[in-house]
Amino acid sequence: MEITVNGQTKTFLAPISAESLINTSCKKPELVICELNGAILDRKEWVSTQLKTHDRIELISFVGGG
Amino acid sequence: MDDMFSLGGKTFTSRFLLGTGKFRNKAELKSSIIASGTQIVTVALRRIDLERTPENILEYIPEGITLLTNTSGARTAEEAVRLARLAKASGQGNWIKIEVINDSKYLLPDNEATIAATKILVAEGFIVLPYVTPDLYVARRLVEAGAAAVMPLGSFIGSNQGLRTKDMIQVLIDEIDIPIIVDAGIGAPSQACAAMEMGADAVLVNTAVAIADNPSLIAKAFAQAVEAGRAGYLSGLPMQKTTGDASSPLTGFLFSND
Repeated sequence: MEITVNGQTKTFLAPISAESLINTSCKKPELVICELNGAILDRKEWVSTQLKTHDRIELISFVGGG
Repeated sequence: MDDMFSLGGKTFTSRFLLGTGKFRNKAELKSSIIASGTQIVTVALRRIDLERTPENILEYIPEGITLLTNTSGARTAEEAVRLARLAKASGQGNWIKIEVINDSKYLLPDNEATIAATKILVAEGFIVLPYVTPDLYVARRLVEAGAAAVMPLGSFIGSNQGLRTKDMIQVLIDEIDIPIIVDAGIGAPSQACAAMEMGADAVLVNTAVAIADNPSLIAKAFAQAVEAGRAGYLSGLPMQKTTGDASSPLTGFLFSND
């Protein structure tokens, strides 16, 4: 199963939830905002959301800016 | 006399907004926030770098400070709206500085797209602060669209050139009834002071603080300059004259013969 995470294609052999992907992809998941296929995925839905092949995930957080 | 700054349904005592980009390290950012006494800081949203531990900028922003997330990186109204929704989803409030830029040389904002994004986001309940090139008609449309303030640029982002658009900003100050926050290009405390003396409601500075040799010192200087300029404005500045007008009495001279 191929999933695009922040523009990078990653291959997963077993089914994976959004929460598991976020936990394994970044070191501070509590700071993350997640988009799935262009729509915001509420934090409460991470655990119940099973990812499908070709899903596009964006993981976003706050940085300094003017 | 208390001179409170009302913006987006909140009241503030500080009229100095600080951007959090470009700081050499997060300690300098934090000390600058504290030294300036700012109550509103801007932040941005970016993709997480999956290879590195993300540093949480929010950890360096003291409690109680209002976060104003910008839509930097947006090239269209749609992208700005998308970023605003992401910011809201983070649970960090609904204040958004709309910044739509698709010119990488001058970083000038797309006023038309900014108006479009403002309409959409106000309807969704955001407190919207649009960053624009100062223009009276644009500002009027932003007021109609429900913007909480207008943020005209003083000069190009990060240029430290000061108030190159001074006359156009003055038009907005004189004609627009929502707060005018001068943003971008302010490179020295004297320039922030000048903006406030003109009657601007607040000033936002980032680069000039972040890249100064001593960021917290200049942050404090900016805050003091903003206060001084505000006081000058409130005092009712005297008219300029083109001839001299003595300050000392013109009678009782020692050297007259009478």
